[in-house]
Amino acid sequence: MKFGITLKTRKMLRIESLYLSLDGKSILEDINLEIKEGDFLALIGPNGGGKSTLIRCILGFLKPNKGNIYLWDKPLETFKEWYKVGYVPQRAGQEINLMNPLTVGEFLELPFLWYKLRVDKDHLSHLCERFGIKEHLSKKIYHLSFGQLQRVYLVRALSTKPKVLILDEPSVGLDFVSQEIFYKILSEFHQKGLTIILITHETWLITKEVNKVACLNHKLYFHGEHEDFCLFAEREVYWFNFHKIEHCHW
Amino acid sequence: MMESIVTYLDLFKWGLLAGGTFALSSSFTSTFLVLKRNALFPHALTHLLLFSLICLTLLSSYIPNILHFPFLLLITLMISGLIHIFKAFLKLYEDSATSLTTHLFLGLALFLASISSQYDATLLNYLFGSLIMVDKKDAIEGFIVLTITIFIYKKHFPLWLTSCIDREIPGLNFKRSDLSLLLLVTLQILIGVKLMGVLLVSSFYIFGTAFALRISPAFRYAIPTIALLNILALAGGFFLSIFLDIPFSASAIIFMSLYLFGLFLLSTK
Repeated sequence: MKFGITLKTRKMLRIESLYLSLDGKSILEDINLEIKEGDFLALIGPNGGGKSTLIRCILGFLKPNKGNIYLWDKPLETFKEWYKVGYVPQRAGQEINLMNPLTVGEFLELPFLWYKLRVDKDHLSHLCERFGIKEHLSKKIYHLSFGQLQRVYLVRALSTKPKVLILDEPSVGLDFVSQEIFYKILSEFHQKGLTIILITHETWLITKEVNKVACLNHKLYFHGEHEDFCLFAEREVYWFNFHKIEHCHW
Repeated sequence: MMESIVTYLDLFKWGLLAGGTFALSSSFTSTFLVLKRNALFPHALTHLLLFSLICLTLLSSYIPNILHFPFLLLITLMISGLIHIFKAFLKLYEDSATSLTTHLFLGLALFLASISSQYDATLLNYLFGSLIMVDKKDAIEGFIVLTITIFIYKKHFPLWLTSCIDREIPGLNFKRSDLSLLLLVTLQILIGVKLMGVLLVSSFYIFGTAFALRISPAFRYAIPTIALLNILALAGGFFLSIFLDIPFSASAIIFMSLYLFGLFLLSTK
């Protein structure tokens, strides 16, 4: 098997019996989740259901009370290769001060400074072109519109050639056309092998782009293939949970 | 005229040299304080330093001279650490925590001063500064702080800059970088106060910085511009104080008000 191709898919993320309470309130209960390389997972659920909190645990911003998280089979505490993880936060760019002279070009080079990597100018240039921000590189970051800023954040997240991209409601505030373009580009990257974890309320995506779904409302109510999720939804268990907490985003 | 300028320069050479190192050091940190909306932090630190100074005045007979500076540094750092404790445990915003700590220790300082009635020349120098009192040792201290500043800046500036934009990035520890900024600013303030006094020192963190951030076409130009403006303010303040025969603190601020004027001009454009 000198020239054989290994078809084994590696586990990118494994969460085991995760519990988290904040200010005495249980946010996450007994979360068990597995994501393989190449998956496009939609993490859905009502507001306040713990989706962003789970992502913040995965990224090491919050320490769970109980349970284990593994990235590429390494415990989170010892994981060092963070350049492999691209992240676009919810409401990206809200902290930007109007006095900040940082340009888009400088902003995009930050990940290379954080992770002490050589700036890959060709890759950056390709990304800027693909996301339509090349003409904004010398602009100050606070001059960008919300839609442009979202794209800049996405380019920054992809700049270090990550293996996984984590997006927390990235298309909030984008018009329908921009959303379509945004997800089309994401889909292209997914087809090239990028693993994507996406928190979203846009459930129309589930049938279009994603192949895995996780439904979270403090507990993980569903985790599996999107086809099974449809069956699951038909059984109205998911709907029942939505109605129970008086939230509906559909 | 030229002769008197040369005489003054000779008289104030160490003061100007030490002032220059402070003007440069502060330019490396002020950007991040302003961008984090925490421009009043150096001013707050000068108030905390007042408490440390009064403690030192009270205990000076028990503390050897050589330990005065470390004592001041330690006490001021410990108190400024309270800002972070208030922030973390009382869940306050940084400006509220800073304000609470500052006022608490300003009150305590005044209380200690009133019960002890121990003021001395050293305390007055620390409060109002004196370029003429600065000697070679102070200038060397200034250089050491500038070297430390450049070293820490090189290590932490990506995180300092990022924390002005994002609070959470995978794999980055902002708590450590925030702490390094706090320690560095405290050290700079301690040295700066000795040269220029509490009245002037914090102005070096805002006038030039606000103007430079507005005129810089990109972030990479901001810090060199601030450094240049701060050095200009030092030199301009020095010459104004000679020509107008007014205290250096006043003349430096008068000179720096030109930057404020510049900001107005830019805003009306």
